Amino acid sequence: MNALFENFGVDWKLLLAQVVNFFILFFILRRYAYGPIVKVLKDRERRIRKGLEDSAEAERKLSEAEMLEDEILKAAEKKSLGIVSHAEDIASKKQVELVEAAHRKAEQIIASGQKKLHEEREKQSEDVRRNAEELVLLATGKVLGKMEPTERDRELVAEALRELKTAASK
Amino acid sequence: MKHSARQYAEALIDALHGKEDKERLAVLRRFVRLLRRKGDNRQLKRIAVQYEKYLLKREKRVKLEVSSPEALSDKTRKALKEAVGKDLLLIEKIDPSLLAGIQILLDDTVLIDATGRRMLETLFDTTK
Repeated sequence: MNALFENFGVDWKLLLAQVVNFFILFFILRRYAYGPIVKVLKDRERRIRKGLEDSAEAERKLSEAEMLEDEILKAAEKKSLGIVSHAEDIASKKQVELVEAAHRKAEQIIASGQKKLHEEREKQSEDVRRNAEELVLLATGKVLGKMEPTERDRELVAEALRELKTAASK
Repeated sequence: MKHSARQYAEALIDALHGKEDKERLAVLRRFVRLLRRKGDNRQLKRIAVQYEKYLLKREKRVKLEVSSPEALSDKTRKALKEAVGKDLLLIEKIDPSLLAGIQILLDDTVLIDATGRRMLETLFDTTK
């Protein structure tokens, strides 16, 4: 073996020393350089991945929010249209009711006015009739008072006596 | 026991029958006291009506209340008596508002209205 190493010019002691050096260097590098660098790289990768995931999540959420917004807007629009339609219906009915009520009120006022007018006319006619009656009674009384009692009473007394005779005979 | 106005009236007529004026007054006083004692004072008006009615019936007379614008003439009084054919209790009233004619109330039940006022009222009633 030694002869083989010698033939190829390999100094096994040097080789051993180089191997030991290699492992020492490997250990040091692994311990103080490679490990932290890998850790930093892994952290960075994790952060980037997390950022990408967060971004995707945010995008998804944004998308969902936009969809939800659309739905809410559509629902709100539908509801508002319903409310407006309902309000229009109510307003229309109310308008009809108000117009009818106004008509009724107007008719009542007209009827009441006509009734009052009629009553007033009746009252005036009655007053005129009563005044005329009183005047005629007064005038007739005065005229009759100037006539002879026999002339005035003859027919009326005769009539009364006829009726009395009939009543007394019953 | 309660008595009717008619019973009181008949009793009063019997009590007053044939009495002098002075005695009549005493009978009436006793009658009023009796009514008070029996608590029948409120029947006094009804008793008076029944008294008159019963008395007229007993004496076979007829009550006539005659209203006219002026006092009745003797001729009219005679005509009234002839129309009834019986003795009259004639009550005369003067009411100028009757204008003409006469108004007769026979025995408080039958009203005969032959007056100028009634004619005019009828005239106005029919032209309404």
